[in-house]
Amino acid sequence: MRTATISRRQLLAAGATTLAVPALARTADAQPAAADFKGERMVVNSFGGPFGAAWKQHVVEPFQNTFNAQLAVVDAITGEVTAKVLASRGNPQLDVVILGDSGAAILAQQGLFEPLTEATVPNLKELIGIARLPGDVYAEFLFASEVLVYNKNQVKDPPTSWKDLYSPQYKQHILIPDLGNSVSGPVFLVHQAELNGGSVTNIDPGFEALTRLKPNVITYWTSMQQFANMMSSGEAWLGVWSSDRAAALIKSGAPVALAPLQEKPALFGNAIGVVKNTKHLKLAQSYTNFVLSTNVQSNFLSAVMLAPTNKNAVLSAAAKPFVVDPNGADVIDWATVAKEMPSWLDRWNRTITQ
Amino acid sequence: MDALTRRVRVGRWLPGMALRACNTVIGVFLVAPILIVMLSSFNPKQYFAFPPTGFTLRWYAALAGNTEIVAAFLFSLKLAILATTISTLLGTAMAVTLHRIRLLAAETVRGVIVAPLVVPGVVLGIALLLYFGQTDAVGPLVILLGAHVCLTLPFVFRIVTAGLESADRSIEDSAMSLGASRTVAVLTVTLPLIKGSILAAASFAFLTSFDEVVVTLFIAPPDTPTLPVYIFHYIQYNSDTLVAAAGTVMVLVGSLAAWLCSRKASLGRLF
Repeated sequence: MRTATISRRQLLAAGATTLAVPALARTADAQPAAADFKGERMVVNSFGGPFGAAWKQHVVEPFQNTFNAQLAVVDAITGEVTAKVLASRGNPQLDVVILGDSGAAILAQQGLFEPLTEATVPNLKELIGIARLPGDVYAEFLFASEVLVYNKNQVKDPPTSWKDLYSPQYKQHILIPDLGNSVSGPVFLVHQAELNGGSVTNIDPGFEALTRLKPNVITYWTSMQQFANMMSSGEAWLGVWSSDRAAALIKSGAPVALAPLQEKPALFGNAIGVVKNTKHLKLAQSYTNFVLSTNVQSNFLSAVMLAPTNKNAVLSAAAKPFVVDPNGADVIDWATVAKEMPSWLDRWNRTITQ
Repeated sequence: MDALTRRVRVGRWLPGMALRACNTVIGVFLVAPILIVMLSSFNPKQYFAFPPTGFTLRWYAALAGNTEIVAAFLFSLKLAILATTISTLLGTAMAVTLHRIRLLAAETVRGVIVAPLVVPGVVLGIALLLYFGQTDAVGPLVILLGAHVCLTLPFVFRIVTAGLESADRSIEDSAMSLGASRTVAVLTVTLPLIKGSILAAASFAFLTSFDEVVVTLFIAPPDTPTLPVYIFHYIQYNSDTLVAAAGTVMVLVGSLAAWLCSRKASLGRLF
């Protein structure tokens, strides 16, 4: 049960969103008194597009104003960020990075993060359990979930379980993420393994399930645009996608909806980490702390409709229907995924997409 | 008409018909996706859909009002103009030099100049990232400009070389026999002879730079992305009609460059 305090917070947050007040309180929870960095400049990344615009409004600009610092922002998504950090080890071109779990696990394995501590990033203490990693090598700052999306013109009786994907009525009409998709692909495979008695270390049931699923698959999608086009046109009836992308497509008025699933959701996170050997360590830690603060999480994640990892953050009423509560959910061990991925990809190419 | 005559007649027009039909199919295959994007950009629906259900210019208004897209467009334009200017000057000079002098290693030099055409963009991007990742000596804007010059130079070099090969060299020799120095002969005789090729080369260079996304992704400098990189990241999150409008603007800029070039040079002769 939620307490009265949380209800009040929700009310306040909803009110704030309705009034469209973008201003952030200067003192976020557990935020040490804002330091003056005297115009110090560092380079961070954002994902570009609408995510980048929201990041600029809710993170970059308030941080620059509050801390008197300069942030140069590079638009780069997970694969690009991972390549950039790997290529410039020793002389990092990026000081703090945000990226999908799949890339963060690789960088962590290579020792390319400066671990966070509760002393340098106090907001770590406010994160839910699954947002923290052993040694706080990096932290999750948001969670998305895997969702089942359907076309309302083609499917009158929405599915309620992942098992419905296998129903013969969807023959040649479902969209499944290709394993090559760095995040959605492995999440779906591991989740299907789990639903069939396997796990990240026992992937066989996942591959067996996907082999059974083959007759229903119209395409193994490789880009968000491909999924959006095929789903809104009705060419595909049902598909496995990511919650925030689905939210954006639904809000744009496309004839698609989220299937109400009984099973617990599969989550995947986006991580924030300080790059090893940064020349702006203090600034990088303050920025990381800022991203994990209650206010920034409430405002930014309401804008992009993703789940916060700070347990005190509250989403706007408009974002809530699209966001799964990450409390109590499980997350995938991405370190194992990073290790197994080459052999999985090989097996995928031989047995699934062949 | 006997059967043999009929067969001969059919034999005459059939290959022509088949070729025309084949060309039409290829033409439709190449042009249809672009047309679909252009038509979709006038669709009032917010999500990408075809066929359009109405007509609106609101996405173009939204495009003009989106400061980030406008900044990305202007940055791409500046970068393309700068890269084109440098690679046209350099590439023409290299082509003229290699065409006129006898060099033992000429083939090797030619190979090196056109190498970026052969190396996949991803490999080149990673290579540049690894190479420049170790130093702060060169600014990110210079690296990006250098990469675009690398990518556009082969087109200029190949097209200008083709132009030189089809130009009549005896005119330049005549100029020299009448007292012009080599420099004067090249500047006043050879270059005007191949100006069509140079213009074609410059427009190819411009288009290559303006559309480039793979290499640029790896070495993009902070703060302002190029337009193709902006669109690439945009569609990771949203698939709205704004992208179709941005794509249409890119196609129009490209078509304008190609049209300008086709007025001054016969592209067909170059390949």
